[in-house]
Amino acid sequence: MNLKSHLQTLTLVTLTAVTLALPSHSALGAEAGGAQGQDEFFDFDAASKDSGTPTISDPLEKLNRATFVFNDKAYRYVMKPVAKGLRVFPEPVRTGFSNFFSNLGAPVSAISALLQGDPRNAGTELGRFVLNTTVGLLGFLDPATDAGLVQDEEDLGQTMARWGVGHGFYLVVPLYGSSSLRDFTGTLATGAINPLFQNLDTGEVIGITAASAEVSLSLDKDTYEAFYDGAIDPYVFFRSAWVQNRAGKVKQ
Amino acid sequence: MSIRFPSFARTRHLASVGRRLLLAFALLLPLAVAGLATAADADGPGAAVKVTVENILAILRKPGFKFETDRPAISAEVRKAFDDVAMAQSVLSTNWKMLNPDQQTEFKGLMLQTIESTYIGRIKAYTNETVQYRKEEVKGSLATVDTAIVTSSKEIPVNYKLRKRSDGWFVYDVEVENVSMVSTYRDSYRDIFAKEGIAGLLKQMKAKIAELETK
Repeated sequence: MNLKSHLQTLTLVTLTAVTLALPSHSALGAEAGGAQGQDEFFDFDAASKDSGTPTISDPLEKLNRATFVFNDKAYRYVMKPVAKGLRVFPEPVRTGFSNFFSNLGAPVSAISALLQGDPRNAGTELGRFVLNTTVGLLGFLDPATDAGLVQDEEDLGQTMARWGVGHGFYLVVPLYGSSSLRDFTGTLATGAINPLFQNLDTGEVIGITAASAEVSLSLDKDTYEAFYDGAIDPYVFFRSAWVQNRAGKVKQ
Repeated sequence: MSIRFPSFARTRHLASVGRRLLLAFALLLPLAVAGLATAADADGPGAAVKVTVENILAILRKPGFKFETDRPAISAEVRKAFDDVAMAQSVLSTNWKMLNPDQQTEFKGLMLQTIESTYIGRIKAYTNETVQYRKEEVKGSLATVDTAIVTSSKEIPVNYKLRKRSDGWFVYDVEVENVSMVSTYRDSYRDIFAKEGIAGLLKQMKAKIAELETK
């Protein structure tokens, strides 16, 4: 009986050891096979084949470029000075407002998550909304994150992407910026279906959106200027960055 | 009998406890060793990223830091950690092979200068935030190291892509909020290369760097 149990243990140990050792062996094999010499051409596309590089068609490039120039002026001469003016308020105050605006979007985020077949995240977003609106004093504070309900914002553009709808084409929207036919449709619908906005007119919804944008701009550390000024062709740079960022959000 | 029975039972019991312990040990030991190996792997991709980020933060946070005078030190850290050849080849893709060795060297240098003048300024803006090291994933000779910059209002995911060379792990791409540095420069240079060739691209890169230096 003792011998038998020892044999059993031994077999188990051996099996376990072999099983656990196997993946590392195959990893070693892959490494030996995949290791590249320094002089060999590094194939980025093969290396990033899991993620791939997202692209977007841009049939309206001429119009988009004109809008891009207009938005750049609007940003530098109107939006940015306003955002800088907001910096007279200490950062925690602006963070509070940022939380407040973010909280206003939570119901639509929950709906979007539900439409994406993610009831778990819908529950999280709804839970965040309830907790932050009450304990978090109308959303200025974010006790939900401390309670483990971490924000994973979803929008209707992402929802449509999950349903298999493509971008359509790239769109630079005046005073709004980079979007696509799909995503801007989603943005418009987001404002329309938000239960909190039902008694507001379009002007008021745009006002809230602008205020929200100004607050987050006041918290931003001049990201836009740095990349705009560093790029040979800022239009292409921002289009590429926007498409990649959206693709990443859809995947999450 | 009344003495032997319990003693026999105890032996059996002990044996079964011993067996379970042994089994648990057998199952857990390789995991523990693997965990130790990762944590202690000073030559791994995670360690490569962490050393560089911490060194740069140390420069930025030292008393009397001045961007103008300390920039060469930051630049040296970045250049030590980056695989400039892999990066340049990634940005130009197959067009890289159309360049002669002189053009390749020139492109590599200009690309590093462009990235530095854009990104070092960015690092400076985030000096006071915390960096969290989240995940290290190794697939053969390629690795991804996930980090996040945590600010008061949001978290910015910053993921590093590394490749293994005979002399260690080196970064060939950085993804900030899912935006790959390599992919963005690649998209930006593609049309210029197609229209004006490498001479036109190098000329525009030089002009841009000169413009950034005067700022």
